[in-house]
This record gives sequence, C-alpha cells and structure tokens, in this order.
Amino acid sequence: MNAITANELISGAVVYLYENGDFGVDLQLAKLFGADEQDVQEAMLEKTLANPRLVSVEAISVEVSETGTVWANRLREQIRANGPTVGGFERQTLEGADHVSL
Amino acid sequence: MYRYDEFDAAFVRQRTEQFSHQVKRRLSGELTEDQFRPLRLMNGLYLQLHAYMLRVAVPYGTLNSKQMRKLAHIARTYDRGYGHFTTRQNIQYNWPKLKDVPAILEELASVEMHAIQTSGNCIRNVTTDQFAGAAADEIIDPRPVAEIIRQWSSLHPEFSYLPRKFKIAITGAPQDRAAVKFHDIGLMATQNDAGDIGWRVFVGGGLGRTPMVAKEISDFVAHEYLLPYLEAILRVYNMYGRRDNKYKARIKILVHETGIETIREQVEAEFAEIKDGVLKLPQGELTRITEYFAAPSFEEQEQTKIDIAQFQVTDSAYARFLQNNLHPHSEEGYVSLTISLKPIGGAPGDATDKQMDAVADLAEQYSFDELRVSHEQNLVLPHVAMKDVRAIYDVLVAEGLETGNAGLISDMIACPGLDYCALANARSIPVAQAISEKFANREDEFGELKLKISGCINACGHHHVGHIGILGVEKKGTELYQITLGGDATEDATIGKILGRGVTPEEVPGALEKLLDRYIAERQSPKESFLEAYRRLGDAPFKEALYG
Ligand code: HEM
Ligand code: SF4
Repeated sequence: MNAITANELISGAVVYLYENGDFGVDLQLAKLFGADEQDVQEAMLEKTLANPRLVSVEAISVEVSETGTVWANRLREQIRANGPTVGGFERQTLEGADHVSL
Repeated sequence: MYRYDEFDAAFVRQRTEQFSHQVKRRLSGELTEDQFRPLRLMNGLYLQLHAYMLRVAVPYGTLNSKQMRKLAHIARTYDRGYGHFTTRQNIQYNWPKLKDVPAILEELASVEMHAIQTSGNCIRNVTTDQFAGAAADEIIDPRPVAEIIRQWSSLHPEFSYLPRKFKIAITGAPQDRAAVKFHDIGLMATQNDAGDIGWRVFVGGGLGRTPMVAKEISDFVAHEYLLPYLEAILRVYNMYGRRDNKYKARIKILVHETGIETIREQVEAEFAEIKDGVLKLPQGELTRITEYFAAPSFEEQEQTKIDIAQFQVTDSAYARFLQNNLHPHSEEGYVSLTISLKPIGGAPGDATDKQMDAVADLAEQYSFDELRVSHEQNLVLPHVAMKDVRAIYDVLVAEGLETGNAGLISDMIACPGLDYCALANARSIPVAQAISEKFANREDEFGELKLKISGCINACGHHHVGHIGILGVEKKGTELYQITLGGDATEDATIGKILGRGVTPEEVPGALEKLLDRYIAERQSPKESFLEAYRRLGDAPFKEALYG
C-alpha cells in the first residue's frame, strides 16, 4: 500500500494526505492506496504536487499491521513519521502554518 | 578580528532584505518551489527530513563572544535551544521555520554574520586550523589570507555558477589540522630558500563517492600572487570542469582525468596573463588586513608550566582534561583550550544555547574575546593563560562541557545522518553514541584515534580519512556499516581502505572492540598509535580479528 507525503512549506513539517483531503502530521490518518488504486493515487499525487504549500512530495510504501497500525516500510520514512531516533526531539508541528488541503 | 567594512555590511543587509522579499513571494504563491529552491539554497536554507535546516557560515572558524551569544539567542528564540557545529566550521540549526528565516538572517547581519555561499556551486566558507594565530608550530597566521580569500570569493561574478561546489582550506602550520589535502584547493604555508613565506598549493582533493588526495600544483606562490593564482585555477576549472555529470563535476575529477601536469600548464598560462593585474595584492593591503588579526596584548606570565601529575590522584578527570584538551601556544604561559562537544553518549557537535552563552562569557573573560570552531566539531578558546585554566575548567564542569577527550576515540566526527539528513542512507548519531559509551572507560588506553562517521557516501563526516572510518549504507531496507581503516586527514594524507563486509548497527561497537583489542595486542609500545600500527601491519590482522 502507499500513502502520499510531503513537507509543509512554512513549518517544514512532515505531512500526509488524509482521507478528507486535508494534510496533517499523523501517518495513522493517512489515506492509503492499494495496488488496485494506482489511478486514484496518481491523480492525488498530481494534485498534491500542484499545491504550492507542499514540497518534497512523494508516494511512500506502507503496511498495516494486524492491530491496524500503519508502518512506513523504509527506515527513512519511519524516521520522518516519528521524529529523530535520538535526542528526544518531538517532530515539527504545523504551528504557525495555516490549514492546508488539496 | 576582521571587522566588516561598509561594503560588506551593505551587501549583507541588502541580501537579507532581498531574501525576505523572496520568502514573502514564496509564501504568497508568487514563486513556485522550483523557482524558490535555488534562492533559499543560496542563503544556506535546506529542507531536511523533518524541517528546514539553516547553515550559517563561521568564516575560517573564528567568532567573538558577541557573535556566539547571537548564535545562542537564535537557537533559543527560533530553534529548539541548540545548534550543531559541523566539520565545515559552520553552525546548523535543525528546526527553523521558513517564516522566521528572514528575521534570523537580520539577527545574524547585526553581528556581521550570514548564511551566504553555504550551499550551491560556488566557493564555500574558507576553513582553517582551529589553532590559527595561536599555535606554537605556526609559520604564519593563515587568517589574514583566509579573509582576503573570503572577500575575493564572496559574490565573485565569474564563480557563482561553477560546475560544482568549491571548498578551500588553508593552514599556516606544517602540522595540518585543517585537512587541506582533502579540499578542492588546499594551501599550506611554506618558506622558500630566500626565507620568504608563501604558499604551497594543492588542488583536486576531496571526499564523497570518489575520495582523492590533492596534488601539489605549485610549491611556492608568494602572498601577492595568491589571488591571481587561485583565480587562474578557478578559471581553468570553470572552463574544463564537467557539467554533464554531477558526480564527475568536482575539480578532483578534472585533475584526475586531465593529469596534474596538464592542469598546471593551463593554470600557469592563465596565471601569466593575469598575474600583474587587479588581483595582485599590494603589500599595503595585506598589512591592513593583517592588522585586524594582530595578536592580543599578551601579558608576561609567572606560570609557564602545568604540572599534570599532581592532579592524577586527587582529580583524575581534571588531569585528563589537561592532558588532552590543551594545545601548545606560541606565547609563553599561554595555551589553546579545546572545549569538547563530545560528551560521552551525546550527539557530536551539538551545543545548547546556555552552553554557547557560557562559552561566550569564557571567551570574553579569559581568551581576549576570541573563539574558534574546529573542523572536528569542537570549540576552542585560543588564548588562555595557564593560570586561568582551572577557573575555566570549573565553569565547563558546571555546563557539562568538561569532557577531557580531545583526540581520543569519543572525540569523533559524525554527520547528522538519517536522523535529519534527506540524503542519508543510515543513521550516524546513534552509532556515534553507542561507540562513545562502549569505550568510555578504555579510551585512554587506545590513545590518539580519529574516528569518523558518515551516513552516506557524500562523506560529510570524513569517514574516508578516519583512522577508523564508518560509512552507513542501506542494504535491502536496513542499515549496514562499512568499516575503513588507515585514513589520515593530516599532511600525510591517506584514504582509508574498506576492511570487508559491513556490519549491522548493533554490531558496530563490538566490531570496533575486536579491532582495538587486536591493536593493543599487536602494538610495539603504548607510544605506537593505532594508525602507526595499522601502517606497519597492514589490514590482515584486523581482518582476521573482525571476520575470523
Ligand atoms: C542538509 C544536509 C547536507 C547535505 C544536503 C549535504 C550534501 C553534501 C553532498 C551532496 C556532498 C558531496 C559532494 C560531492 O562529492 O560532490 C557533501 C560533502 C560534504 N559535506 Fe555535506 N551535506 C549536508 C550536511 C553536512 C554537514 C552537517 C557537514 C558537516 C558536518 C557537511 C560537510 C561536508 C563535507 C566535509 C563534505 C565532503 C567534502 C567534499 O566536499 O568533498 N555536510 N555534502
Ligand atoms: S554524509 Fe550523507 S547522511 Fe551525512 S550529512 Fe552528508 S549527505 Fe547527509
């Protein structure tokens, strides 16, 4: 499965495309695209790319565990989703940035 | 210290204003990201994994206390209360928000600092020996020449779009502490037969995916001809450097493919044309700049020795600090003091705002208001009277900055790696921390050891030139670490050799232990360093130790 991710322009924060078309920081709320939804994914990706408030737009590969937790497959994406693994720093928030949606 | 003249000040102010407009236009949607990216990069603003990163230049690693306090203030006000000092003698902030960056740049401009030319295919911040202007072994203080190079290279119209980035390092001492042979151009002070001081010029060094030791292009260039000579090199590079392939675009590839003899001929031909033109440096100008770097008013010192032995029993941590963190000074009764940013288990190079403020106070009180950032990611108080060392140490203890590990295994270089960097393949910081913790009680036994860690082949953490180098790679979605041995960044420049197959993150400290145990077993005496032993023995015993 895939999700769509980007960094928000003003804060730089990592965001994901949600079901309702909003972008937010929680991977658990991300809209997931199955293997049979390539077309929808492409269309959404295109729209996201066109949004001037989003940079470094990408589709990333994820899996859903038995308990329903969404996991990014690459370590890089796990770190983007959870913050640095050292130093105890929280992830960047969207504070100071306005609402952003498709 | 050099003070901005009106031209510098006006230029930085203008650039700050310009960038502030560009940010506004980006936020309003007038500029697309494709248009904006090169503009922000020209001002040192990158986008990393979690946020933006702002890279601020510390020209030739020199700061005063006011500037350090400003860096602390920025960390506190716009970031998360810390900054990361890098191998390029820069400071990086990991969490600024785009809307705040114009304000940060204004704050920096108020203390004659900026982030210009810290990115992009231009001439980057000139780096030098962290003990410049203080070291006992120095032939000449390289900072006036570094400053002249800074002025020449800032906004040089011909060299703003080079084939690739360009880094210059300079040292005034025969002992190279600035890794000059691993820069696009390296300059090393020398004296000719007539007794004149000038520069040996090396060209085509670099790290990254094709590491190379720079080759000597000239064994003596006089001060007055240095800029025309550098200009000639840059022109040849600008003309013939490859622009078709980013991975082959650095001058090291040009030198390698063309051969140093041909490059020398081309440079000499260009040099002959421009030698006596506008770039020829009148002695008066050199003298003027040199005056900014005049030695501080040292006082005669009663205390001219520090007896380390007397503390060995009563205060072993202090004895260790004295042993490792002091460097010989040209002035009797003085030393240069390294403040380690490598506490055991910490993130190499990080300093909190409070620590930066404390260090600024120390510089003001005890080091003639001078501070240095070393390429080994530490801070230095260059001019400290021996009698003041204890008082300084006590403040460092209060601030958690007293680690007496300069030059030991835990005083390692590590890049930000996959915890922050968008180009990374593997993490560097947790590996650095695990190693530092593992050997905390044994590092004195190992003696001088340069450990360097990079999270990808770009080699920002200098792993190619570590006595032990560690390179993080990604293999089938997991992290793997390759170990290289025998690298050396000094005047005996050597690129390390990969020992064998990579190891997992958990295996790294244990792997190092095997290598170090073998070194201890094989060394001729405790005086023979790891690097010397490796050079004598080759990699066979180490391969056997690690892989059986
Ligand atoms: C956003 C973070 C960073 C990015 C995108 C980045 C990018 C790069 C790239 C692409 C190279 C390879 C250049 C080449 O081979 O042509 C490189 C080399 C290098 N970088 Fe970084 N880097 C980053 C952070 C750092 C940091 C934190 C340091 C200092 C600790 C640093 C210091 C260096 C050094 C010393 C080299 C190797 C010397 C050379 O240019 O050959 N970089 N960097
Ligand atoms: S070496 Fe690689 S991972 Fe480390 S900072 Fe440089 S580009 Fe990033």
